[in-house]
Amino acid sequence: MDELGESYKTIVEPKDIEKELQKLWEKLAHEKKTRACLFNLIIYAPLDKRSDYFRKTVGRIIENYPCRILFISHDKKEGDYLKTAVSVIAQSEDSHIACDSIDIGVAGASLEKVPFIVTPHIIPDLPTILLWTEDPCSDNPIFQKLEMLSSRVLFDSESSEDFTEFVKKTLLCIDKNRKATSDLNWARLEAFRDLIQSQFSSAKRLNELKSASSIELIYNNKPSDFFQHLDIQAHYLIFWLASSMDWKFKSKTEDEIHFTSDHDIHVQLKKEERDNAYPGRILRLHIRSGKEEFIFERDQEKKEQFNIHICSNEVCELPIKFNIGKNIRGQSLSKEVLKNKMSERYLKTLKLLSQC
Amino acid sequence: MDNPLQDKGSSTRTIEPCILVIFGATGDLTARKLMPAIYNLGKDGQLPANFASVGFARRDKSDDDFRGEMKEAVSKHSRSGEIDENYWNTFKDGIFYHRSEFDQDEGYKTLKERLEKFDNQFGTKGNRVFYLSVQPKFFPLVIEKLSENGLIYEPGDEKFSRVIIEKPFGRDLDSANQLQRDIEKHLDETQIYRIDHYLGKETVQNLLVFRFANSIFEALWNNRHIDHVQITVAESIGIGTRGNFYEEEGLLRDIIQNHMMQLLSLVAMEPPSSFNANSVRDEKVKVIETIRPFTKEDFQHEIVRGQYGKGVVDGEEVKPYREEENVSPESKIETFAALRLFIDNWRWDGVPFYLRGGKRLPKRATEIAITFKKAPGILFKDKGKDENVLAIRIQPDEGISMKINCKVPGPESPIQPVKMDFRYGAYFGKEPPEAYERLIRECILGDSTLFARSDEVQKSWEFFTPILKHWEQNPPDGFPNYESGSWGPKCASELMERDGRAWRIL
Repeated sequence: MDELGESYKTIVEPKDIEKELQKLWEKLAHEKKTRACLFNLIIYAPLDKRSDYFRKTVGRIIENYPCRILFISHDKKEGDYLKTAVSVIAQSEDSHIACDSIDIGVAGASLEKVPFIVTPHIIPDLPTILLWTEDPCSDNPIFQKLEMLSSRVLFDSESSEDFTEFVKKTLLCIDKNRKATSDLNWARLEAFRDLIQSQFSSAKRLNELKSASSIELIYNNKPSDFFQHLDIQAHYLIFWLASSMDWKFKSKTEDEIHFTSDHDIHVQLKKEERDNAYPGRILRLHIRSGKEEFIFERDQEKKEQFNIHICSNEVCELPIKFNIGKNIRGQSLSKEVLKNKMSERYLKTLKLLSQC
Repeated sequence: MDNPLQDKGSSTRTIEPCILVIFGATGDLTARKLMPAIYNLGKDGQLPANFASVGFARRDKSDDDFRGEMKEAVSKHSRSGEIDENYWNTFKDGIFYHRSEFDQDEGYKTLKERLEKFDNQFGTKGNRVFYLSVQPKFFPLVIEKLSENGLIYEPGDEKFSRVIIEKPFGRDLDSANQLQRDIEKHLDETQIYRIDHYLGKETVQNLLVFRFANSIFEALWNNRHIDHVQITVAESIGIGTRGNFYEEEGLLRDIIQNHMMQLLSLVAMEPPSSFNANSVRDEKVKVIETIRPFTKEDFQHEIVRGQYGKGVVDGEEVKPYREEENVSPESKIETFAALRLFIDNWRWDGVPFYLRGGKRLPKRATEIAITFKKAPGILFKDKGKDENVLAIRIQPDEGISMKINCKVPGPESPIQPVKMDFRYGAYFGKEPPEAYERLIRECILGDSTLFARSDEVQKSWEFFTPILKHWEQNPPDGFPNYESGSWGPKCASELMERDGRAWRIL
């Protein structure tokens, strides 16, 4: 991302947003920049240490897909203000593609004005994605109005102190508004889920999975400034497996989960701290069924690589190395923004999780 | 006769000299629109070489006073920005002011004398255009006085006299018919120019070019390919100081009965046999004639209304309609309306037309959106393909866009809607002429294509008068029912949702 210098970020009155954007583009005309937009991206972020993370993430999205950014920073500490600014962001330093960015800084009672500021600046006929980075359980008064403008809603479960409440609230939102909804932590798991799917792609393998009796999952418990709730992806993965296999939830403690089908399934969650993996990521998954064992282990050195061991009572297959792709900041979000349907798998996972 | 001085195929319309008399010249319209239009026409060489304009109004002022005021108005409101002093110094010499009451015969006699003097001074040959920028209740009076004092000629006379009137043309069918009868006593239909300024907009005129100069669209322009049509006329402003007017009119009369019907008829009409005024207007009238009239049940289900409450527009808090100047605190007047209608002809059978208009909506936008039916079959069924939409932006950001589906690069990427976009400003650079410029020029040229004909107006009132009567007899509950800065009341969304559709977010 190349924000074209502070000189191009212009503080404007809300009524002058489009006019000032037009002026910026006229200034850029000699630089042969092309104004492009695939979708509208509304980001709501409380002004805290994570908002910077999201600004950088958004920049990554633009590198892949030019879009109109409407970034709402909500200061929950200061009095009452509303400020708007516009800028143009190029995809990269030497790219001729660039897109609009509208920044809305708000505090206090002026928060109520924000949906009215955003509404006229949605580019029609293009999808509108709302990235809501606050806990949806906090019942923010502007959420509903921004959601109404959107074709897709992305939550960030990292913002929530209580994951179970987050799940229930997400389900309520989906049920009420029928919008395609997802969560960044769910998105971060996509590559790993694809890996699992690729190994359990035959009827035989699926039967083995269905008859699994014990699962051990180890996740990276090393926190960072931006990630503190580190067991979310682990829970998503386990409950995704369970809901896909139609296991019924039985009970849960902090590090054990019990399901039942025509047999009992015992899941153990374990923590490990690893420096060279992102916080909360799956480090190892070990599935034991009656006849086989499946081990998916993140390589200690190469964090994008998983080593897969499959053994039965009679034979051990040769280990497979599987590269799930480089983890780049913003990659998950980049993939999620272009999905326009509600994932049935995600919905099923949420429903099972809500029983905890 | 072929003019040897002109290339074949170039326009053969010759603009005749004339004097333009503006009644109500001290009003807002003259300052904001009419005089800037005349100035820009003159500056662009689009006025006749022999031309003068006269402001006729009740206030006492001199020619120079009036010129000074008009200079200020043009400086403020002209699309070309700062006034060209060189040009103005010549232009102003053709501007005059005539003081009189509308009902004083003496005033019209002296006007006639002055105009005859100007004919000698400017070579305007006795041709007259009278622009009635006055309240509609004065139309019959002014026209009668013009006629009685020899200022209106017989049609077919060597000299021409034309009268331009502004909407509203009546406030219901009876009053429209009465107005027509009053006008017809003194004027032939060929001498009446009913302005609907939407018809003067470049983008509206481009509708006909778009439809009939491009073969690819006409084949799709029917019920086999089109799912529905949405027409939106949205304003972010409130009623301002027009409370008195609005309390009598409401949005249906202000916008939908006229502007929207013009847009609808241009979108839905059959190709005319030629572009002469009557051929085009004949086809437009046929559209309005074939709109399915509302039944009693339809008043409940096919049309909704709203009134704006407080809210936020352009970042500022704004007051509700009922707190505007000269508005009753219990007012039942609508500032929003939305309806679904059908045109019962071969082309449009079964295609719903959704119309909505409103004040204090999030932005100013006028748009016609043609939504096509979804691609058939199972291909890409799970990839989320959207329907194609052709959107014609009338104002602002004039242009045309087409929404199509594309594959996102990558092995398994979904389908993403993208827009092909044509913008007037980007391609043609120069600011297009304002609507009034075009319309005044067309009237001087004697071409009434861009003006509403009496039967168009009548047919439109035939459709809307029963609705207005029903509303009068059944005042609404629950006003105000939408926040300023939102896209209108919930009932408008429901109107679409029950058909499995949604209003476009503009």
